[in-house]
Amino acid sequence: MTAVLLLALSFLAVHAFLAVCLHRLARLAGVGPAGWAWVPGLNLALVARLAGRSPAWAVLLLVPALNVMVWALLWAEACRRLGRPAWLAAPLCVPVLNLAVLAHLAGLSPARAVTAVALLLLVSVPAAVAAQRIGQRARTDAGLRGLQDPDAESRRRAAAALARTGEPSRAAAALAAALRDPDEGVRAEAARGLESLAPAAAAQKDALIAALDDGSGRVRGRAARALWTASRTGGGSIAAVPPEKMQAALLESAREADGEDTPDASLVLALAACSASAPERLALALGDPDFRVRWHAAAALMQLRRVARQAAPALRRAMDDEEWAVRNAAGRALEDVAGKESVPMIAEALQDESSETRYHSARALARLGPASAPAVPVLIAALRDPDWEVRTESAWALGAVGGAGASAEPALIVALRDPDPQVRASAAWGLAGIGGSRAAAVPALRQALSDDVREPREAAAGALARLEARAR
Amino acid sequence: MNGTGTPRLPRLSRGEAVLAIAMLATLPLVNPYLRGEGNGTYAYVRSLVLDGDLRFDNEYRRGDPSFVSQSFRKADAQPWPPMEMPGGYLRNQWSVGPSLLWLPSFLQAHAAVEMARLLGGEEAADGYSLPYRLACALATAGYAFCGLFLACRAAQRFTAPAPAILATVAVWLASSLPVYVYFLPFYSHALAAFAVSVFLWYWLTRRPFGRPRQWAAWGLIGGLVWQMEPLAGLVFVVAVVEWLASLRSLHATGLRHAAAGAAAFGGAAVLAALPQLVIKSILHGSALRTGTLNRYFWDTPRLVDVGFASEHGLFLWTPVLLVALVGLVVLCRREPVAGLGLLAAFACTYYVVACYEAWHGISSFGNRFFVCLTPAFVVGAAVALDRAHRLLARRLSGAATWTALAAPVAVLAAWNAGLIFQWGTNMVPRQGPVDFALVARNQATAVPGRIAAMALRYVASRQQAVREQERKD
Repeated sequence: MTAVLLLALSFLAVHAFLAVCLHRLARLAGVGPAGWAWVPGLNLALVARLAGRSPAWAVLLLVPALNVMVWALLWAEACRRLGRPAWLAAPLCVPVLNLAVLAHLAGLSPARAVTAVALLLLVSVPAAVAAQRIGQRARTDAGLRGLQDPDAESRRRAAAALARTGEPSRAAAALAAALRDPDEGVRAEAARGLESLAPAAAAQKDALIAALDDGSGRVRGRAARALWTASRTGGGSIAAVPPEKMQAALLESAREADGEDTPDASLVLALAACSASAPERLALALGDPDFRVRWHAAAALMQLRRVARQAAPALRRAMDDEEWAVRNAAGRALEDVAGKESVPMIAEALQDESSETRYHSARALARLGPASAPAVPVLIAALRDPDWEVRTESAWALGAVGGAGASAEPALIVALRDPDPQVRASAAWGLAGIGGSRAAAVPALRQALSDDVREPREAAAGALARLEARAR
Repeated sequence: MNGTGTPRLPRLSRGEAVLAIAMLATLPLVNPYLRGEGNGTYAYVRSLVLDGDLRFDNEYRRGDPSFVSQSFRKADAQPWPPMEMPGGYLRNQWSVGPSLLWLPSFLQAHAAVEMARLLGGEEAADGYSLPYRLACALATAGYAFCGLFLACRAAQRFTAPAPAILATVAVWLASSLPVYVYFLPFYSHALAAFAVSVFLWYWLTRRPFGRPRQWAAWGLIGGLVWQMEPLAGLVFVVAVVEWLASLRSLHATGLRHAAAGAAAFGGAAVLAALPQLVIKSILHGSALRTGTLNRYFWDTPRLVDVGFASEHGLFLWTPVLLVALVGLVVLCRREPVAGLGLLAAFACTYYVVACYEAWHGISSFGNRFFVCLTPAFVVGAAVALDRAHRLLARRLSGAATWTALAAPVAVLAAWNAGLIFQWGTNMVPRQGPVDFALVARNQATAVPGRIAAMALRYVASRQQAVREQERKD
């Protein structure tokens, strides 16, 4: 109530100031009725009248963007009619400054106008700030009282509301205490609130670390996320927390991730950061019954790249997952994670019945470059794959193998006439990569220069330039 | 404008007042729908005002699913490598200008939301809640209407008021503009049309420029135009035409005077473009790197396709613009500098779009790259209608003449409304070629019934109707 009264006082002070100025201006200009200056809405119509326009112009002041232009133009007219320079309309569009200009137009000297506005601000700004503080305090107090409520549902609502009170330090302290609440839902809500109060929650790090031992997976997961977020927003290091504990808790929180199209980006980064020294647990999590855990584990492995190379077999198995999201993440991860020791496994996967698996396998071999040489025969066979994307990636992978892929030259030349333009372009680059021969590859590429589609044409030209440069 | 250079509020004629009321009456149709490239355009104002930075990770993640998947990998939700810039920023290929124009409305919405929260309201002050989106979407409409009015005024330099107003109505309702005003207000095109309108209005109503100060003022507007979308910057060719025309009076003014005008224009344009130059420099490491990844094929322009392909061909989708083009040719004979300037701007835009890899605008209603030339089309259409009026007036009475002119405009507007409906509700594909036989069949059979049902749902349960459409998108 006090907050509302203080706010009303602040508004009234500004409104009265504006009304007095407008009233006086209307009198000076002989425009009426001057009493409109005191009525919100009609005061805008009075501004239109001061400009010698119909009050209907005030309607345009309700349309965003137009209102700024019309306001400026109305005041420019009004200033002219009052015998004042029209450029005064510009400062009349700037909040606060416009109060001083209005007071000046109403007859005060510039110095007095500034003093009057300063006095007005001395009253209204502290009142508005006090109203805001009182409101925040009242909301925090209500939240604190709510946390003592015997009803668990009320405590949950209070914990959720505390995160939005605008008093982060007090709210964080109260939420940290609520992490010991007997109700699981309240504890989970408190941990979630602490995550959203990240910098202030850093002071409650001990309570959050303790919550990593909570009996509920939800609470452990949210506490881990709050700790991670606090550490990222300058809330100190989490080095003291055993990484496996963080890992396990974060994987728990994956069960609650609500993304449909993509995994939770910050959770993926948190998992990766906590798993750099021990990626095995992520590999194990690829077998979790909850697909969201498997999905986030695969996505986190993708961030670790070659550091997690021992997870490649687990990722290969996950490429047969029943969920597309997991298969896709695992396939992408395998592309980045696999080391040369995985080449035989990937070569076998390139003959899998799933086109997705074959696609990711071809891409993984391309990333491994010359280390993929043992897979050349399988890659050559994959140039006849029924899926155009597999053919494209296989041609590209052969190019990445380099000189060791020379035996692929005839197959790549055939692929230059593939029905799909992407495959044709990729085959051209493949020929350049393996260092195609002057006798066979160069004439075929020259022929490809007259391809109907731009991309294969450009690829052929680029490949020829590369082969010529190599010959020189 | 008066002698001191301060613009005056226009005195509206009766026709203009009716047009203004009609435009304002359509404001409730504006849909604050943030999607596609609008996410990137809006990210600047949201991030700068609320986060105080240019890190768009959180803004991009709030985008529609299609936008999110273009920015982040589905596998791990991290940015695609081409999105990541060396300074740790995410690429933003869209222009800064629209955010500059939205800024006042965004701030007004933010103040209102904060005030409401102070009084116990629950509206999120996150830049994405309805007040923000509505304020900025309405701002787009406000700017577009303002642009149409300036174009109408500019057209009245060459024609009587009535043809100019009719031409404004024609371009307002029968071109691609309404899509980018009412349904995709966060795209930059309608705002670019406004900026180009200011630019051309200033030129057509003030030329010839006597003093460097006028060139500088024009350059400042030009800087704003370039910031809306780089393609809109092609209207600078108008400045080249005007400058070359000013050389005709070189004997009177001297070369120094001409050079001062050019320097004033260029300097002022660069000054006004500073926000875009600085922000792009921070984001992409160079002030001139826009961030776009598309290519131009200068030696193989798709000249016929841009105009007449069923895949968003300019004149096939929006035939009113062909009338406008004819008008610009007629204008060349009456006012060579004005006509040549506008035609040159159109020709340059046409050629550059034809060389562009995505000349069809990908998901575009008509060819959206030409929306920025709206004011030029208004002037052209006004001249064409004026000419037609003169021809018809010899044979018909006054009322019959105006009926004969207004009827095709009404037909074109109705056809366009139906086509917009078909495009918006996926009755025809948003991307790729469109079967115009199917379009015509739909216009006659399916559209009238469906448009009525949709309109009823739009009025009765608008949020649900919009959500359904968003799901289909």
